[in-house]
Amino acid sequence: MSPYTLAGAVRDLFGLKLGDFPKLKDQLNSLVRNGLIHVDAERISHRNRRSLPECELTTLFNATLLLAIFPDPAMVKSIFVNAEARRKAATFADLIVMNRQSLLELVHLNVNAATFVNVLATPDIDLRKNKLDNPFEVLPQALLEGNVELLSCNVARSASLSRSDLMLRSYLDGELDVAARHARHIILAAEKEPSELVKLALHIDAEYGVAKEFSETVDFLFGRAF
Amino acid sequence: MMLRYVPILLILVLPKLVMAETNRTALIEGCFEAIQLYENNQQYTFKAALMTSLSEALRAGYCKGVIDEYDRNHDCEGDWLKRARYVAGYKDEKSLPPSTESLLRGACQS
Repeated sequence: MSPYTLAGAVRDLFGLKLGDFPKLKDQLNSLVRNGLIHVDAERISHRNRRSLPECELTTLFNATLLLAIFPDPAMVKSIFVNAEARRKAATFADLIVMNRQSLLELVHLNVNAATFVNVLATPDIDLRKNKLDNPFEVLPQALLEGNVELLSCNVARSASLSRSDLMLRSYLDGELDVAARHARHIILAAEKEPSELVKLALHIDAEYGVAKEFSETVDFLFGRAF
Repeated sequence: MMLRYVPILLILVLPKLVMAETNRTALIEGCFEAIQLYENNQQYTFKAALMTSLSEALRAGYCKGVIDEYDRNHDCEGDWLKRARYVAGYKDEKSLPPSTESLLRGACQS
């Protein structure tokens, strides 16, 4: 059986054409350079024919899944070699899985998500020998075109969630002016926000307008105590 | 012989009595709301809208309208707020002035 090339291995493991995803290709090459993925040393001089021993496939597979969550190749390597880094990564991945509700809209996590975290959290399971369960229906690197990382997506998402949280909280607290200020931010960025949120923001903004007008009317009719 | 006209007289008079009564309690209620609304608006500005129901606002406006209208026909001292407070003071009273007119006159002289 002929040895794998990096691109051939990615095609077989994930059904992706590595050439279409330059960022993933860069990251995997970094993993080769930092020594996590061992390529056949004799062939490394033929730059285009670097080959991958079959025993490295599991490492490559696990590393690619981890890159979806941790885009830094150095970090991925330390998850393999450093127990403490692995523990932290497992905790972090667990947070993401726990937060599956919101992430589901970004990448379709499947039922493997929990076992993925479990295996990652068990230090005795060698990541070089045991394949992690792929928690993604589609590899995020492919879905997000390599321009945006899963994490930045999630951060952007929680940022927008926290703004809607602030808006709702101040609205329910009767802080209509504060709620309306958050609402106007959301309305200004309407095309980037979920449409239900924009509707809610418009509603709050309108209610604030009515309340202000009411206050001005009371001022006008009742205000001058003469 | 005249007795047969009594029911007719009563029917003619009754609506007037009922209307006067409604106006008087509505006025007292309204002036109570008006003071509350005025004070809320001074203190909380736009929050007054959240604290006031539609009917409260309508009643408050009714009080202010009646007081303003009374001013147009009578020489009245002092501000409307003071008169509204006088009228609202009857909110929990058992005995009310006999008419809206006397209630407003009292408010004017207060």
